[in-house]
Amino acid sequence: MIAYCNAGWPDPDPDATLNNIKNAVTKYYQMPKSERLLAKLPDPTTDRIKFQIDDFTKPKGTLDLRVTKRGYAYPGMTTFDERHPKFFGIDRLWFKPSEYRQFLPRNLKVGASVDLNGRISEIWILHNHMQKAGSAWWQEHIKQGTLSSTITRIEADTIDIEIKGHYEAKADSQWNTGSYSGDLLGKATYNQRTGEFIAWESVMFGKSTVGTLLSNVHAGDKSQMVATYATINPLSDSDDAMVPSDWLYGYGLNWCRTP
Amino acid sequence: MIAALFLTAQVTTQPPAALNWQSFERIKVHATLQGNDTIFQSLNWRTRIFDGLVDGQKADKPILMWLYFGDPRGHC
Repeated sequence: MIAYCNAGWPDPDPDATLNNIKNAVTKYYQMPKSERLLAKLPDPTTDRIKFQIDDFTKPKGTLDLRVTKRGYAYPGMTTFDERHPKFFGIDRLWFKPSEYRQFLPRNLKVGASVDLNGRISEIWILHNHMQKAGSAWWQEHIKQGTLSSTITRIEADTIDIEIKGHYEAKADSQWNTGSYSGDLLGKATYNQRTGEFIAWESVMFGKSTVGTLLSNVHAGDKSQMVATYATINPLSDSDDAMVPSDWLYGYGLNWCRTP
Repeated sequence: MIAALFLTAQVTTQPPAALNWQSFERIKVHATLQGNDTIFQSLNWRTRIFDGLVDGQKADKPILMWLYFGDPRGHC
């Protein structure tokens, strides 16, 4: 038995949805047990379909950041469009130890800084950690990308860093002709003894522009200011425990298999 | 009422002129989950259909399957 419970568009109708769920549950229990229960419970070792995502695991020692994002009000916005500030986005951003150690300048003294390039800098754009919606960004779309880390304080085992970045991106592909212009600012604390970041707070703030407004996706202006916030993943619920949304094409199985 | 107030605040908040340490906290709060944003997580969601099926059968309960077209975090 399959019952459709969703109600309300574009704004969900919780009362109607709850009523649909109650009706479905009633129908379920009206069925005889022989119809609603399997004779034998499925066996995880033989009956479970194995998916590619099952092989994508978090490498040991990974810096696991939770990224939350929300746009600001823009002209003509309605809840038909996911860019409406009523909606938030949530994702994860993972850096392996070999990656997050790049945030530390080679010379560990206050005032020392390092410019960050490559994946560790580009990932903020390529994986949409700067805007609410998901778009197809490629490396060549990043027209300007600067990210640097500066040591601001050293005390006992801990090193405080300040992270600053600026990005200009313009896509010109079949799937994305949008643009982004914005900044990144953050602070983090690294523990030299344990070799891990024990605190992280970074914010991205910028103008996200849709290339082509689509009648079945967008409502209102093309441009919107967007705020995103990255911090240590609290792993407090099932969403936090999920892998990053770009796990397949953005990270890939090889990424999690190599240190 | 509290949830409604949070929602109103998020929808009408005006962006600051620029990102700096003076505006950092305001921008962070705007992007941070508020009020009832995560109330749906008060349920113990299984992220695999198989796990839901097994637990549903054990408890003799139907499965509520919440599907997104693509991904709830923004991919089409």
